[in-house]
Amino acid sequence: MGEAEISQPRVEAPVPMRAGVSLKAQHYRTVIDRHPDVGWFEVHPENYMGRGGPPLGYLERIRRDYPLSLHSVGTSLGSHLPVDREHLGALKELVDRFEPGMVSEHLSWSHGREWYTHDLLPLRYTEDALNLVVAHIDQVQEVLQRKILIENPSTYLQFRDSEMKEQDFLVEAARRSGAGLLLDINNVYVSCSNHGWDIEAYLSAIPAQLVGEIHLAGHTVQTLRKGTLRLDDHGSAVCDEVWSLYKDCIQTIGPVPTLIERDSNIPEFTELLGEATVAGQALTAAGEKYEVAV
Amino acid sequence: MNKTATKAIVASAITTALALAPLTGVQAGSGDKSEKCYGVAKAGKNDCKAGPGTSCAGSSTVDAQGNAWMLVLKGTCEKIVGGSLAAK
Amino acid sequence: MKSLSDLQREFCDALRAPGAPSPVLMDELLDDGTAPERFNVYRNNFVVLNGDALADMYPTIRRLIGDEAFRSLANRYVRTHPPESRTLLLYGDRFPGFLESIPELSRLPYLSDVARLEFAWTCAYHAPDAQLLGRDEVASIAAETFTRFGLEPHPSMHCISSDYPAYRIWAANQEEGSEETISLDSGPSHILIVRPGMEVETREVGEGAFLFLQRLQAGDSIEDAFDMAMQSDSAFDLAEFFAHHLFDGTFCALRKPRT
Repeated sequence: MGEAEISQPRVEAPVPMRAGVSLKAQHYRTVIDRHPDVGWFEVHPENYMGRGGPPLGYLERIRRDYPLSLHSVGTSLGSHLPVDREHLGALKELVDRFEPGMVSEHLSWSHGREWYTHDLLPLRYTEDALNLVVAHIDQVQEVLQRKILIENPSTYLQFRDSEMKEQDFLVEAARRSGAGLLLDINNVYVSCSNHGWDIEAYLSAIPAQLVGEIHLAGHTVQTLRKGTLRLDDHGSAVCDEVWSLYKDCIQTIGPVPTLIERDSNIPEFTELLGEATVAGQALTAAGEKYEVAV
Repeated sequence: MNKTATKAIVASAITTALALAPLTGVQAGSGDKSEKCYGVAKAGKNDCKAGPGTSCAGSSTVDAQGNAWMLVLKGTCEKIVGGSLAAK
Repeated sequence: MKSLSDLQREFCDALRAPGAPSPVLMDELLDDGTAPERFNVYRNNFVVLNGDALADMYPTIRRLIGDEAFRSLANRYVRTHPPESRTLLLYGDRFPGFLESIPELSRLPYLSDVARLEFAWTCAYHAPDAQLLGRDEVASIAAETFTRFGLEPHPSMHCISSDYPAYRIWAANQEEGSEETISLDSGPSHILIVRPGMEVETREVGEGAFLFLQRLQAGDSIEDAFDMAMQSDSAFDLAEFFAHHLFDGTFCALRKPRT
């Protein structure tokens, strides 16, 4: 990329206390041409690890006008295999170049053989897995020279020998590594529903001061031979139950930068903007209440 | 072709190219990257969504039954004709 | 209880296998009677989402053989050639060879060449950006010494040749609903793919120009590359080639003569 682009003035790096939106290729032009009133954008760094070309060009251009968050899907924090240094190097390059306000990754693994699944696979919540995750977070934070946020996953199965609750594992991993949390309310709803966990208990275990970002997305429901399964397909609007949980949550823990995620059935940008506006209003309301309460 | 002849042809071809009027627009180099010219935006392929769920889309045995595996070709390949096909 | 590493290996193997997951793995899962269905979610994700990435890489192949056949091939490819990179940007590098290995596709011998073209297109899309060769750089060299210089093709450049009219087949399938009939007898094609700015350019070139570019890319001097091109294609017109392509972004620099 030309040096001229990198030296362009850009907005302040920190992600503001506002709603952001997943930046999809379908919306690059709309964002550049219409400059919508969105607090920030988030992308998966793995989609920008090419050596040049349009994706990096677009991201440079959009970064000039908006704060950015990098939401990684490829470090495989829970993998028994070592963190890939090459991938970490590529992530570091993007962090240096785009100066994101936040960097996050999932509490999951994707790499268990010499090949990659490109999926976010579930962890068995045991002490040895916790040690491994903490060591990998440490390594990522050391290379990136910054704190990252760890996101609670959507899961569809559980391991028989898990020893601790997901929320306790997550909080303990953050505490030991100094990482923050990315609380995905839809994922909490999906996983609690899929496994019959208590949502209230899950959310109340999450310390407010650890939460650096919130995700909201839509999901679908499928019928099983026995019961139903909620699938985190990011393919529809945020459902009412998740909105309600979200609003209660930020009333309790205070406002947190919130992302509207969409990865399939990508609609017109205005639809995502509409959801971001709803989240923004909830943040403002929570902010006012929180200030009074504090 | 001998070296002298090659040298003359190359020199003349380059001199001619230099003499032609420069093209305008994006040809001027990477410095001229107007906002309209970021190119085709291909969708990113990595994401964190779930796929088709419990359906049989990915666990279908249709594509994996060894000998029973058959491809039904129903595309524009019907528009490609010619002797090489008949020969096969 | 299996060790973490064994559990993850077992899980990965089951993602790739089309049949029921092994009892060893199932034994590790909490099962209320729906564990196989629950595991299926992950297997579907693995096969379908990586297959989607392949479909994104090869839209022309998909159009040529149809969605159903493509999905069937993609499922097989994902299982036999799982991703080897941390990103999906260039997933599917071995798909052209894979297509050649499928007996049912032997009637479509051009398919793998079209796939090579599509893969090169995406490589060019993600290739490094580069300054383009400028007139000043060329004008500063004495004309009679040019033959000993090389020309550095743009880092995004790919040269694809086919015994079939792969370029026309590809071009006819870039738009929905093309009714063009193409004869396989219309001969071989030589295809140049390059991304001088932000748009990938795909064009058919003569055999001479193709060989010339290939030799330059391999590091030959202009003289050696030109001689090689003329040996195979005596109709190659260097003056015309340079008039069109010397400064159009095909090249990014002059390469100094070897001493």
